[in-house]
Amino acid sequence: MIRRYTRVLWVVAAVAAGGFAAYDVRYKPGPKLNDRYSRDLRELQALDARLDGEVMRSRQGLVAHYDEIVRARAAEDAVMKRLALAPEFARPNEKQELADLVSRLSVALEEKSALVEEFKTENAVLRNSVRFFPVAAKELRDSLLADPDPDAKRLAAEVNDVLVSVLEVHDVPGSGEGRAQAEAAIEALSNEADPVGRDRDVDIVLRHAKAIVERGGRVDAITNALLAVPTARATVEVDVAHERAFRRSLSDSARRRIILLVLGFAALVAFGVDTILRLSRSAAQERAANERLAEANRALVREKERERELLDLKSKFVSMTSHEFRTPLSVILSSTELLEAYGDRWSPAKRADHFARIKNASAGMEDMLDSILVIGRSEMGRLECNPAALDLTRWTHHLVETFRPTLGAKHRLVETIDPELEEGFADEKLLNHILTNLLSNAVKYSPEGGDVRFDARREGDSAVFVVADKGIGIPKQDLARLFDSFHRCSNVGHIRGTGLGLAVVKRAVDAHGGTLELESTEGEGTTFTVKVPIHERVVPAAKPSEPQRDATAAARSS
Amino acid sequence: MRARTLAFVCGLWLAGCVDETSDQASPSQLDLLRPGTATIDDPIEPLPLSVEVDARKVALGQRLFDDPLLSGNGKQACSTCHHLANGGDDGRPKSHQEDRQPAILNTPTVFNLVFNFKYHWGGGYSELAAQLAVPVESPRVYATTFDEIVKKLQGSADYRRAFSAIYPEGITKETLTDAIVELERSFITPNAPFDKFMRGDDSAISERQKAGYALFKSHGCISCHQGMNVGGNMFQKLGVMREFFEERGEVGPGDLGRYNVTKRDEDRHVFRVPSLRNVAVTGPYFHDGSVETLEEAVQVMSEYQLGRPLTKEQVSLIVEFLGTLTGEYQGKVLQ
Ligand code: HEC
Ligand code: HEC
Repeated sequence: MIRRYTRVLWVVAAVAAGGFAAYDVRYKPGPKLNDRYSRDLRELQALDARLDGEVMRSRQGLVAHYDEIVRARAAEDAVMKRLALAPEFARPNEKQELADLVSRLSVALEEKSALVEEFKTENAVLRNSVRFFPVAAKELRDSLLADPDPDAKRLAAEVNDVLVSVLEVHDVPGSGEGRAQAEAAIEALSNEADPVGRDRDVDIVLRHAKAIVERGGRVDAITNALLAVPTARATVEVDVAHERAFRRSLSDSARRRIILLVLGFAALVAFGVDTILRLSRSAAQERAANERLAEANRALVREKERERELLDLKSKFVSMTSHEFRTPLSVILSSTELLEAYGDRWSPAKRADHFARIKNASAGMEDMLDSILVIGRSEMGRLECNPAALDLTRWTHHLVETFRPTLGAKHRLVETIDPELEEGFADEKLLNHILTNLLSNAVKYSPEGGDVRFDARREGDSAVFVVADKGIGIPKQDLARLFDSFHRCSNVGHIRGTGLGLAVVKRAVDAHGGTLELESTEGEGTTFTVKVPIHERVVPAAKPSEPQRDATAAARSS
Repeated sequence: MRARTLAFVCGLWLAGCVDETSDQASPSQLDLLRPGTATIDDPIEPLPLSVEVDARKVALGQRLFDDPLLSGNGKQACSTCHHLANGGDDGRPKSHQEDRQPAILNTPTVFNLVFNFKYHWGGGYSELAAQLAVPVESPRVYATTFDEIVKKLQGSADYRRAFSAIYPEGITKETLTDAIVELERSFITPNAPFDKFMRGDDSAISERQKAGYALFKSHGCISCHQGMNVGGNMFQKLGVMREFFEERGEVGPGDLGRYNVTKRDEDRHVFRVPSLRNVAVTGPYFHDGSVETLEEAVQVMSEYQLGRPLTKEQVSLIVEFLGTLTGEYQGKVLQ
């Protein structure tokens, strides 16, 4: 009783400890995980700062090209892709929070990115005009001043106004007053009728002046908007949420480890107690257990052996039958092919000959299949005996008459059928299997020819059939395995056969509850005597008695 | 027995449970914070001499790039419009392929793609992998689908072998895109005379070409065509200083530029500033291929983008300078 509890205790504790350990290994906020995410966040902050710096420097004309801005933007996108994957250790609600914050950050970055594009475009044009405008305006002013025409002097003064006021706006951005002044100067110059034919140069100066005044304000507005996008705050928010989840999971992990420690300790103690109890168990119990074990083992060995035998049988069966089937099959195949190809040109006799070959081969195959079925059924204990009323005398005559045409010239069938045989109860199919096999064996195994004797008579409640030949006989050493499937006697030489005939006979006789005797002298001949009960009461549900199977069954039931 | 092992392992594990709370990223690795490296003096940087790519993927990508099997009618390959021995474009104003709708835009070069900030005239794509869907699906180009292409490729034992040698997952939309993108990353044209000059070889370009470069900067071309690709890093309207399309008339859908991507009015006629790398061999010019010669293109630029005229002599100086931007692909100078 106690033992049972200690065992349950330590197993449960050990399993729980294992589960905890596995969970912890998976969800522990390892240094790497945390590192990667925080590093990405720091990188994003750095990139964002760099972007702001580059934009401001560009605004002041201190940067030669935008490649740095482009690279920083691309790097930010790459980081954002990584940030979209929340760290493993985060709980679902934390992951949700992080996802929300990251998407807020991503919205901010997109807003900023659009402003950066606008900045790049506007600023480039502005820079261009800022560089060109003073040169163009001064050149125009000076050349106008050099013109003796007084109109040219007036125009020069207006150009100068534009030059001064526009540069003022550019140098002191954001002053509304300066801007209004510059706009007024531009307006004045564009309304001035040009008396000296310099429209084109004036036009160029005006375009650039306008570009500076308009775009200058716009670029400043864009720069301010861009710097105001809360990307930094959004990044910090993600960072804080991530850090919180990280801390939380760290303390969770610590708690898990304490529990784990307790569970582990409990498991160890319980395991110790369990072991001691186990050692003190009675020796007798152990021996009995050992005995049971040994018995089970033996049964197992027997089972294995039987399995191996079945396997053996199966493989023999496969190789045998496939070989035996191939011959008739190839006859059928070749004859059909020949018939197909030449049938219409052949004489009827030749055609008939090939049809006969096909028929014979098919019949042979059918016989073999029959035999295999009989053996198979009996192997599975399903070969049934269904006796029915039968006029045995007539039936036996009929059997003989069907058999006789298969005899060659060398053989003669001498039958003695007792008219007393009369009515009886017998299984026609089984009897057919028994007698056709015996008769065809008698013919087959007397290659020198000679009489085959067939007697059928009644002895009380049984029918007795005797088949005797003057053939090659059965060697002594083959008697023991004579009825095994596929067994063929050592003296069969070139006589073809499957080794199934006698196996079928034996099983059919057994199924019918009869007996089978044989008498044989090698080189002189063989006599089989079959005796089967034919009175109505005998309905033997004879199962084939397989010694191994019985042994197994016995072992199981004991 | 199993239980005993388990208990033992548990013991070991417990022994290993040392506190690991001090694992924070050290904020000292912020090398990214260093200030921008460019100085005001060099608005153009030389191209790197090589980029790191997976040679096997590039080889596979090249096969796909050249194989008309991929197109819907089996007649076009990428290289039909993007000639790699020439400028990476097709030398026509606008391409028009057999049984395809005519293109509405000039074919841009596929060289030095990785140094562009966006792709297409309207800058509608930020990644090459996404861009690939356009030639594949467009009724002006392949007019097919990725599924269709994958199916066709899977019919070829050769391609199956080539893919599975590199990608365990075999032929998929993703692996085929990856191979082509890897190839596109390898399309760089280093060693232009101008790059050699930038790297310190003073005799790589002539005095007139140097004068052309000075003019390119002082005249203001550099405010838009700048950086490593001499362009390809910003958007600009065509006609900043003078309305281009008002004067030209006949505005077609291709002329809308970025508007087609954003549908914002202020993006009408806004284009990605194209790279001027290899520009001498990528005519005809502009999104519509309307300008045949570089001289004319430079004139248009100075009129409409800069609003200040150039003399004939100045134009030819700039054109001579632009000629120094022609680089080498696989060791051969582009023609
Ligand atoms: C019918 C001619 C044609 C074919 C064939 C073609 N392209 Fe293009 N390609 C173009 C045109 C036109 C554009 C510009 C489209 C735009 O800007 O909207 C372009 C643009 C590109 C760009 C972007 C270049 C840049 O800097 O913006 C890439 C990359 C590209 N193509 C790759 C390919 C690949 C890969 C294939 C084969 C799958 C291919 N092209 C087949 C005509 C073609
Ligand atoms: C305001 C920005 C801006 C300035 C300044 C500028 N460009 Fe351009 N450039 C562009 C844009 C935008 C395009 C594309 C226009 C199109 O294709 O419709 C372009 C196209 C070109 C092309 C054609 C490229 C091709 O492959 O089709 C050349 C050549 C060129 N520019 C040269 C110059 C030169 C030389 C200058 C200086 C005189 C200059 N650009 C000044 C924006 C500018």
